[in-house]
Amino acid sequence: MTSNSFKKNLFWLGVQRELLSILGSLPLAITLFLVIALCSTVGTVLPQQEGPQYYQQNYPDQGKVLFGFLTWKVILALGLNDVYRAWWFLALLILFGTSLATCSFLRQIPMLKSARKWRFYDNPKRLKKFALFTEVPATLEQLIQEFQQKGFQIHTEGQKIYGHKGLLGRVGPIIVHVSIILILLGGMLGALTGFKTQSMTPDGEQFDFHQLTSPGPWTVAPKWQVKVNRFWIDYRPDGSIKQFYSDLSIIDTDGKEKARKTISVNDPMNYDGVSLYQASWGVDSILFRVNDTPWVKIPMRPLEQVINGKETWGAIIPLDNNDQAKMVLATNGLQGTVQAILFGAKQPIPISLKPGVPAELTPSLRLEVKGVTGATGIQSKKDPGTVLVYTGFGLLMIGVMMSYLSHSQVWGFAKDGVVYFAGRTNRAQITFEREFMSVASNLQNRQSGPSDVIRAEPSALSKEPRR
Amino acid sequence: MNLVDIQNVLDNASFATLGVATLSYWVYAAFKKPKWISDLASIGMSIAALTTTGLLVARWIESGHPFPVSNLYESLFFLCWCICAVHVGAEWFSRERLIGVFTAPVATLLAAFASLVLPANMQTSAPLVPALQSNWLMMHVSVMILSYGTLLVGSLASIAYLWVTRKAKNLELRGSSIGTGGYRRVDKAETVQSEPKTSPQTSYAFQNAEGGTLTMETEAPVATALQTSSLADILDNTSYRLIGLGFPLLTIGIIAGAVWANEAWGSYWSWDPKETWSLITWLVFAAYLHSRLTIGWQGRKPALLASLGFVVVWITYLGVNLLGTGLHSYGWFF
Ligand code: HEM
Repeated sequence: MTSNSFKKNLFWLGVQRELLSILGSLPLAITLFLVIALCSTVGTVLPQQEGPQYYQQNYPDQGKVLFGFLTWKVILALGLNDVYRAWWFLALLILFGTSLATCSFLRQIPMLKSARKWRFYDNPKRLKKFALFTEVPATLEQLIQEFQQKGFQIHTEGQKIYGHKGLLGRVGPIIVHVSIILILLGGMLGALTGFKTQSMTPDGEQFDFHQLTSPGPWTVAPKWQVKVNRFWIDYRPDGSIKQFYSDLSIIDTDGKEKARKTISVNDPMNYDGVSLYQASWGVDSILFRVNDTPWVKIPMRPLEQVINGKETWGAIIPLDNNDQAKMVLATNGLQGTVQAILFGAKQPIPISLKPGVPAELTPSLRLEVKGVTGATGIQSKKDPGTVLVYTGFGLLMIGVMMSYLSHSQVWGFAKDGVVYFAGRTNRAQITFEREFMSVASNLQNRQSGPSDVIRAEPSALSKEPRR
Repeated sequence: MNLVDIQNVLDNASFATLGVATLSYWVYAAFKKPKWISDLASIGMSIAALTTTGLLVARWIESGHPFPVSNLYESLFFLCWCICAVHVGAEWFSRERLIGVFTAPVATLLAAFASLVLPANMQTSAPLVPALQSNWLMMHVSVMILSYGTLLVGSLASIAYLWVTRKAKNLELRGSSIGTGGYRRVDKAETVQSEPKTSPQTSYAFQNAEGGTLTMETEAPVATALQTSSLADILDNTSYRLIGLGFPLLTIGIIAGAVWANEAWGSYWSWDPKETWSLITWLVFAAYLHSRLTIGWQGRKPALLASLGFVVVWITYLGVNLLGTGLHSYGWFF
């Protein structure tokens, strides 16, 4: 290696070190917290994932421009129509994850190491630097006893002591940070190798995974199919929906049934790493006939209007060629009753049809419904990242609770019948201060006897609301 | 008297008690006397915590559905209960009554909104829709609201701190996670403290809010005087501890929601507005916690972040429902 390239290496090492320390710095982390929070608000006020026409209509670039700059061109160029999948948002998240990892290794692990070190001081000048420092005539044993009663672990070295408690409070944040890295990684893995798709399948039919809407780059779609054996709804007496059920079978490429389960909302089926959820529902069709014609399957579509305050599905059957006479069939769900309304006469004629009960309009015109067929909305999902994310969740909950603990340290030494001691804590300042005061006053009491109680408790001083 | 009557009585009693407590805190804050009025205020908050407990218990017995909340009315009173309970805890912890000047009116407004503004049909209990019949969900909703209550009282303590220190300059605070405040500050108090051995009396130096020094004397001798916290320090640390408690609750609440969503809908995160705002809340309070670790950020800046958090919690809790879209628009809550 020439000395020149050596210098160059040294230069790059310096740059690297500098970059890492910026990357792992707290001001950057705080900025990222707030910037990500701010960017996240965009997607909650701007409608997301609509078609381009939607933005062209609602955010014109001429005339009244929202805030003077928010035109559809700006929205689409910056990906504000799908913020959470915009490249710059993902880049922010990656930067955040990197900062977190850097910070954990560069800052936190050394911090923990240093926090674990036992240090002993026997110089009053050193101890006086602490905000909480005092000296009381007492023996070292008494001091140790007092601190042990407060839950401190005490180590001694000659006439010097070091005590601590709540070290887990230093471990907590590290666990928190690692768990967030796990969650971010799990999310990424899911996006790269998983899929999520929704299908509306009529009662009795099958669906498969040949056409996934937005698979990840490394997603492998399942070969098997799902058969909907039956779909039904449980209603309460007042007509409101109690629960949805789909009886599903997994059918492999040979047509064999591999598994079967009835799913409902909050109770999905899992097969081959894929979860099948009851997500939505609809009315597919009704079986209908006029007089003695064969049964006709009439497809139903969701209607814009809401009838009886509920979602409604319907179909329109023209009865003549000039769109004068027609029949509208409508239903609110799978409870069976279908409303038929005849238009063309002076007044629309409403008829209520119960399955299996023919309605005779005139002796020569009889309408009959055999049944209403539902369609079940099944959401299928495969997410190999879930394991990582759930592990992260578990660790995060533990770590964040541990982070509440305050790490307290005390130092002391005895000299000529007097103990000198000092301490500090990282979070529970007030509580620690009271603990410290109580140690001091207890030692004092031991010396002077309980009759001569001193009012060293800070509480005696601050009980009165002071302003 | 049946359960519904009991609820009506407790509903009005909570509102009235909170109103009285608020006025008492304000009178006391303005005139600094009489002492009994500050006691009255504290007792009022405790009574309100009990009446709201009674109200919620009566409601759950009546409706028969499991804890805790099936609609906005119950949710508002649950949050009101949380604020009262956390306030009582904070007052006990800090031995300070100033926080009540800020917490009591917030609790009062919640009770007023629930019992006076909310239309009657939104006050009665209703059966749960299928998506809401889940234990994870119950856990999610109750922990979320508990965390909102804790975070709100915590940020109100920060707002109280901002109020107290509004004229102060060069604040140096203690109680940060890296322990920057663990060292003795050098100020006027030091002169009082450095001569205790010659003095038969012990002095406890307090730096009061306006930066001056106020010395309390005790008769018994203690070798060296201790430097203890000022009112500003106490408010600051109370806020830190409360937010430090609310943050884990929020974390657990969000995770319970994510797990529930994954079990019920197949996706633990779908960026729906309510979800997103709970993340924003989480990020803002994470920023607060980290700002306390940064040496250049001591003093009023973290308190300003906590105040931002106060606003954000309200947007998450109520504001998003006003937008009325997304997964969480089943009802008027969580
Ligand atoms: C979503 C991301 C993060 C979360 C939820 C998080 C959470 C936490 C929590 C709860 C604490 C304990 C706070 C306290 O003392 O009360 C903490 C401490 C800390 N965090 Fe983070 N943090 C995150 C990201 C970061 C990043 C990106 C950095 C680095 C730049 C960082 C650096 C630190 C440091 C140095 C500590 C102090 C450790 C100690 O007190 O022992 N954090 N974090």
